[in-house]
Amino acid sequence: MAESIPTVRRERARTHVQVRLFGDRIFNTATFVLALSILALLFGLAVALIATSFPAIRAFGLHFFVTTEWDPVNDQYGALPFIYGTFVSSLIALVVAVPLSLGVALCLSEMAPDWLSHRLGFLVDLLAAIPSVVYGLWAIFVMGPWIRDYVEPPLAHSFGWLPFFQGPKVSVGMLSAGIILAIMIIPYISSVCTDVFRVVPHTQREAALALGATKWEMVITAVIPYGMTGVIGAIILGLGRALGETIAVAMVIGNSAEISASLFKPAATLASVIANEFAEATSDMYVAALIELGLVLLILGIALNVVARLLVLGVQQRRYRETGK
Amino acid sequence: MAAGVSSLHGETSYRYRKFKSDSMMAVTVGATVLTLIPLFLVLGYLLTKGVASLNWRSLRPCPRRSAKKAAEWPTRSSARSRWWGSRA
Repeated sequence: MAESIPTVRRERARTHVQVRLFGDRIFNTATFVLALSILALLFGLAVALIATSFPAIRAFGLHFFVTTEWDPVNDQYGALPFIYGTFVSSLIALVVAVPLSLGVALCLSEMAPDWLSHRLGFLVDLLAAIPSVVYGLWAIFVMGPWIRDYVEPPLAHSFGWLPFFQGPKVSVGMLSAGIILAIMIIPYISSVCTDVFRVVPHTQREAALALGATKWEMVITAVIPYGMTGVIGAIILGLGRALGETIAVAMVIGNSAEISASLFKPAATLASVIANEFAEATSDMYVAALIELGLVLLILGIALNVVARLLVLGVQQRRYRETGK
Repeated sequence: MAAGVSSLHGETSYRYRKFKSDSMMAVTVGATVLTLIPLFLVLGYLLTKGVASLNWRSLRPCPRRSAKKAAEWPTRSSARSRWWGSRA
């Protein structure tokens, strides 16, 4: 006996839904596997770095991070000068880049008319398109001598009583590296900050202006607090880029495994020493020590991201407590 | 009188706030200009140095011979014949 028409339709609909659910399941599984593959890649990278740097980890242990001796001839390795160089060069870059980037972002989002804002934004983004080796070349031949002749003498003359501005004035050193890093991270920070400021609701701005605020007061009271989470994220993004930047820094920092308070003196970063010395690493211990430096760089990057997440979370929670949304 | 003083203070305060606002906005424009200066300096340096040393020979494909032999190989035909002659 033939089934009734509603029953057939119901069966067809059920089959259709099952096929769709099956498709959804495949899609969910595929995206989950792809997401896991990123974690697996990171895990694999960390395992490979630990495995290949194990001879150095076993030989030097925690002393690797607190000793300053880097002597490949006698197979003695300490990473402290490079960790110090990485932090200080990144700090100089942030000190220079953050105010400039915020200024650029505010100019593009609050000051410039639309037609000019997009053109200027394109030019600022173009800074990120220049290869780092070109920045390095330019820093060696143009910026470094200029800093040596026109920046370091006034700094030494005015602030020479500080240990940061003492010592011989040379074109390669920590200051040159920090400034070239700053130029390189400005487009990243300013681009993100511009986008963050542009999405601040117009009602916020209008409310501030309606209460009698000037344009700057509107920026300070309405725009920046609203976008603070994004600004912090942008700064952390720039810091991450500064920590890992290699070639441009290797070309201008001077590559000296010494810790000096003077910003004029040559130094080295984790990335620059790996780039400079990996090709000439002859002994197994030398290679292992360099790979351990890479491991330190990876751990620094991950730690930085965790700190950034915590900072953003803290800002979000504070805003939630203050505004309830 | 008191109202006048108050008004005078308000006017001064507004002028100061407006001046501060305009100054800070000018600072943001200055930051943008300062940021763009390296871009033009890098591009200008590349163009002046790069274009000056650009020639047709640098664009031609490299010869197949090894770098050492290519360095020894005289470029002009007369010099080449002299070179072969001296070897002979």
